[in-house]
Amino acid sequence: MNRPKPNRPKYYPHADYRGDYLSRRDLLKRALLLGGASAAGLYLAYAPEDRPWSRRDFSGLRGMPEETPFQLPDFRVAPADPAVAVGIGRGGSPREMLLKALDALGGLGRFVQPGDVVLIKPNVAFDRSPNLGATTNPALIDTLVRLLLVDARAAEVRVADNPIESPADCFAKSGIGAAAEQAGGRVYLPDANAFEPLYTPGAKLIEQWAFFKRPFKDVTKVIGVAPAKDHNLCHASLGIKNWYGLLGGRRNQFHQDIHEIVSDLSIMIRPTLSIVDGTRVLMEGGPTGGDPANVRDGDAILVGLDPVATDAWAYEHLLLRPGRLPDYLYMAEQKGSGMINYAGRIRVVT
Amino acid sequence: MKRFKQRLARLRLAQRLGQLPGLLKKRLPGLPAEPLREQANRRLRLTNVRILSQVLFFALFMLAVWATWTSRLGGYPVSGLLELDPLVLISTFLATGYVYKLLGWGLIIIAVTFLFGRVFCNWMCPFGTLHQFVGWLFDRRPAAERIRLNRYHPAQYIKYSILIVFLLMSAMGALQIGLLDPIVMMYRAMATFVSPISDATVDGVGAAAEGMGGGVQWLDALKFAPGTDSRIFVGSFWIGALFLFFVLMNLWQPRFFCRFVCPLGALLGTLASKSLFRINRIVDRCTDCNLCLQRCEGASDPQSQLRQAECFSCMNCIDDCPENALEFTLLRQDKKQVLPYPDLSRRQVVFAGALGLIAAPALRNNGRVNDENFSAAMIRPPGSVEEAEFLERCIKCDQCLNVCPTNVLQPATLAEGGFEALWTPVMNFRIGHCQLKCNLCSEVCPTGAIRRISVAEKLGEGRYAEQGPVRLGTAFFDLGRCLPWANQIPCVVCEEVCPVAPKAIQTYDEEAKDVFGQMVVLNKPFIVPDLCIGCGICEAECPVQDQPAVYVTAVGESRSDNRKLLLRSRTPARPI
Amino acid sequence: MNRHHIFGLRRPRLLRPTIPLTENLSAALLGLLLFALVAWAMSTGNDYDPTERDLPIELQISNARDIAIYTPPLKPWVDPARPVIAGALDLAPYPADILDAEWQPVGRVKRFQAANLFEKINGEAEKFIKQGFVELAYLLLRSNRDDSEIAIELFDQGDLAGSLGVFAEHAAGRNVEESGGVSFFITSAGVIGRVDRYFFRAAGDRGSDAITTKALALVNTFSELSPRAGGAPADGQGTAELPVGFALFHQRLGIPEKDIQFQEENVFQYDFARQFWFADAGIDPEARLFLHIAEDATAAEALINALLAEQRYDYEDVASQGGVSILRHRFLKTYFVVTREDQLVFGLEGLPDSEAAADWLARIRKGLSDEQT
Repeated sequence: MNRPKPNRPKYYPHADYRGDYLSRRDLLKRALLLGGASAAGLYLAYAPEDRPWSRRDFSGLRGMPEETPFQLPDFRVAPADPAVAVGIGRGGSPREMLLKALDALGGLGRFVQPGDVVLIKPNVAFDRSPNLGATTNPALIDTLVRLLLVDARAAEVRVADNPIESPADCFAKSGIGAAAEQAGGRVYLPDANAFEPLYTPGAKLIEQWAFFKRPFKDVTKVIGVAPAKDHNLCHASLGIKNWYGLLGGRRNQFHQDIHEIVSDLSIMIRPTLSIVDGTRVLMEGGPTGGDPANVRDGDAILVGLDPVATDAWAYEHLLLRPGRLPDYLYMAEQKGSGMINYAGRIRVVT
Repeated sequence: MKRFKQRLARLRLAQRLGQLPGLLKKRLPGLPAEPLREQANRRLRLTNVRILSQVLFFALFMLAVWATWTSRLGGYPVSGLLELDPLVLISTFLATGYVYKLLGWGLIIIAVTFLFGRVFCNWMCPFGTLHQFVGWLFDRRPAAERIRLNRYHPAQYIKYSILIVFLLMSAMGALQIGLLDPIVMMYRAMATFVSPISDATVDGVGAAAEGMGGGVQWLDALKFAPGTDSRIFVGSFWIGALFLFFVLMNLWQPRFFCRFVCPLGALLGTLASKSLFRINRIVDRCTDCNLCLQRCEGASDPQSQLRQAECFSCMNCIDDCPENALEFTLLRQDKKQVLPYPDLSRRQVVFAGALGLIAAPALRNNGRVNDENFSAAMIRPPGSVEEAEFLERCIKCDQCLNVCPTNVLQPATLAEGGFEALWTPVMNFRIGHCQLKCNLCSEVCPTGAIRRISVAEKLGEGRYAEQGPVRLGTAFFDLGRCLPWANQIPCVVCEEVCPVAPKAIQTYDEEAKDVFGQMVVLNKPFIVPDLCIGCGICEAECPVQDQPAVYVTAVGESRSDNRKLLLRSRTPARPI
Repeated sequence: MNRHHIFGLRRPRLLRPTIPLTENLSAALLGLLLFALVAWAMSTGNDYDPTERDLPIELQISNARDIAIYTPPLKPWVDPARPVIAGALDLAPYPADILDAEWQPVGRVKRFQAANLFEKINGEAEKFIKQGFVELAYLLLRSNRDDSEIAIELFDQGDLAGSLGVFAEHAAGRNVEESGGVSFFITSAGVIGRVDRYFFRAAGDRGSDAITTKALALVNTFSELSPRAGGAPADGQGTAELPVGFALFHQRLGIPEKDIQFQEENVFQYDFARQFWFADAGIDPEARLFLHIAEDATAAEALINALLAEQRYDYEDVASQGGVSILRHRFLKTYFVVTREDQLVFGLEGLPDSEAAADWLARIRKGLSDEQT
């Protein structure tokens, strides 16, 4: 019995040794713990909403998911000759026509510097084979990717689109997936995590809308490559309408005001180059096509710095439509995306 | 208390240190190690090969499920395990009278069973592997309890009754083996339950990685359905619940499904009754220690008269016998130590038979599988045969759901086809649409419920021009909800996305002054049923998305003569 | 068993004392078979060719059929409050101002061709068809003042001859007026008239003032169809191609259009006499000039001989000199003068005396020779 006598307070007659009762220190520790927890809980629940770490939500709106939209930079590059807004190459294979059109603007090297990360946005909206004219010509994508990687020495070339149908099937059947990958580019398919809200100042319908952001990470140059197609609702699907493919969410609502949305698209993104592929022009039955009899060889590839002028020329000379241009071009001009009157601003190289 | 714990820890450390010399003997060079010959002798056992076989077949199965996607399908034998499944072969043969495409492979397994017994259950079956693995992983029982649980249980007769019921139902035209067949259940659970959950998890990881600035392209290889929006399957909860129920029952009874429920196991057990090779107990050496029951998978009583129909040939008992009294052999079989046939009484057989005979007509009588009361939502994939024949062939493996690139195929609920058509593929056009030039579902269907068709046949081109395109149904407008018709608001997404040429949706164009005084040009759409193939993209893209203003119903489907809408096509170039 | 253990991992202890060589060998063999199986399965892989699951291009092209789709034209906006403006309704061939604030159409313009003309005018159809009928346009107008209705028929008779012929049948004995190229006469509840190659009839359902006003207004409206007013000439008939008889009487002899008639058949009640032009000479209400162009001189000779032969039943010869035959009716004492020049047979009938005949014949001859020069 050498154990020390416990310092036993008179409230604990049953205690045998030190560990059996709640000492003052224990009591203090416990009180502090409980007090602290209660105070923290009360603060979190009741502190006014503007205080730091406050979790109070009186109106019920604080708990709603917050969307932090991002903004796209301006991808445009000043041209060598400001008088030339659209370069048109005619006669020859797609590669030859593309080179002619690029030469008309001063060459690809003027726009794409070594080390650039370039995003190509083709039209891969449907699982159509390339001869049906509903999607971009894969030979053009192949040429463009190779030019960018080899001649312009871009660091990386990405090819992306958000099709209406199954992305893997559309890229496969249109031949663009294989063309892009064989040429050394990388295909980005959309999935649930690839979209984020984009803020477009000045847009009427898509001031903030889900946008296919993933391929745009670290991108320095953007090139749109659109086929020239008839479109039942807005009369033509050319360079500007091509950017529709980057929208996510329930974008089918916009058909209720189709000209407004297409003109909004012209300010949503300011691409480096707008290419309109006139090798297979879908004259009727667009935008899905499906009848090869409706496709004609327009024998032209346009590379434009002014998307409005590019579309205007394409409407008149590729789709061969006389008369008034589609409304969205006038609205795009009003929004400052370009000028419809292309007289004197185009250079045709045959 | 604390001191007691400290003393215990010290004891354990001493014990481990004492073992060290033995361990070092095996690892360190210079010290006498176990001779290579002995290592090889010990390692090259049938049980080890069995584990290897289980792992490899499971991996092949996972490869098959992973490769069942539009960008990966290539030439892989993705339906391989289903085609090897003898129960699928026999039940579809009973139901249809024919053997479709590669289903003859089932004879390979039957041959193997005739030779070696129920090796399929423990060497190949991925579901069996899963049960064994889960049971082993979470089993904390002591040996005595395991021995008790591994004895033969009289309730093991139930799987034979289930088999009899299913086979009789198949013979009468109601193929329901897919509900409980192990391979089918694995495919179905993987396709509809596991793959969306796995993909959602990978997506979550990907989102977190992207948020922190990492790249995510490599994650696409881990997804079952990369490059598209996350998939959903209506009713997959119950598919998963059934699957998990059987998997978790292993925590109560080892190999619960394999011993008590599996109809394929019952079939193989019946076929194994006269197999050439089997486990043989050498009575002279046996000391009745019952240690062979410790890890017996099939509960086949190797310690007394082996029940040949229950034995999985897992070889565990051979490894556990300290007397070398058990062997897997062709010769020297002791006929007194075996009960070859399943333990099924005549009464049990008769009851099962009676149930099987009334089950099929009872289900058909429920009133959903006929040409009068069929559900408008019963829209089958392209290439499907007529409904009664479809239900003779569809094993509900849901491979078609797995491969569908637009997620339009869903497991049917009870509302669409009753119990008979539960979990068979139907199209839900609110979720997706049937892509025009896609025939992947017909490629992967192992039993021909969805007959293999080429794209030319699907579109009615080339030599199929006379029979016209495959029509899944016909689209109709709800004019009270269509924006141009009901509300004078311009829209015409349906006409724009209609993929056939010329389009099956045409418009009346009209100028109108709307209620706010604005002059609008309205394109009022209407369906041309002669051209409509029922692909459903109009319904999928209609902005009135909760109850679309244009919707497809099953009437007019080309697979059935009794569900036609039009007498003839008004344009001979696109026949009906 | 510890209830906190999650897994039941235990090291399996191999209790078996000996493992025979056959087992080693069979295990090794099975292992090799398994790896071979896996290798085979992997090797069957990705020969994915997307065009395999697409429609071959030959089929796309060969089956680019033209399924002709009819797209109705854009239906323009029609304001329900305002009266129907001409542009909204297809009024051809009526002039646009046939409609006004008071008179609105009931239904649309109905058109009839020769094959179904009888549906509209039943027995009368033959009369029009014989005279070169092309198309009938029928329009019903209703007044929003007193709900009276007026039905307007516009017959396109193909050419002047037809229109004149039809009108002549209707206008026999009526007081024909002319205004702005339109020859017409007012009826009790409407107006009947002709302009250019058209013949029109307008009939109201009652004899009200509104109808009479409208009938007169119609004359003004239809004057727009006259070539002079800019109405479209008949196919292949420019002003240079007026029928010879009409040109002679109207342009050379200056006889107003309303006084010129054409009779298709049964002229003078003889079945061999067909296609005669008549003109009111102004001498006498009953006297008329007539002209017939035969196929050739022989036919003309035969005609004139037959005519004279028949006329001699009722007429008596007075004189016959220089090819001019003058006959006088036995009872009525009117003169019938006829002569032939080449393939033309012309003359006068119903003359009170024969003095003016020579004069008129000379004038006709002069007119014919003018034409030839």
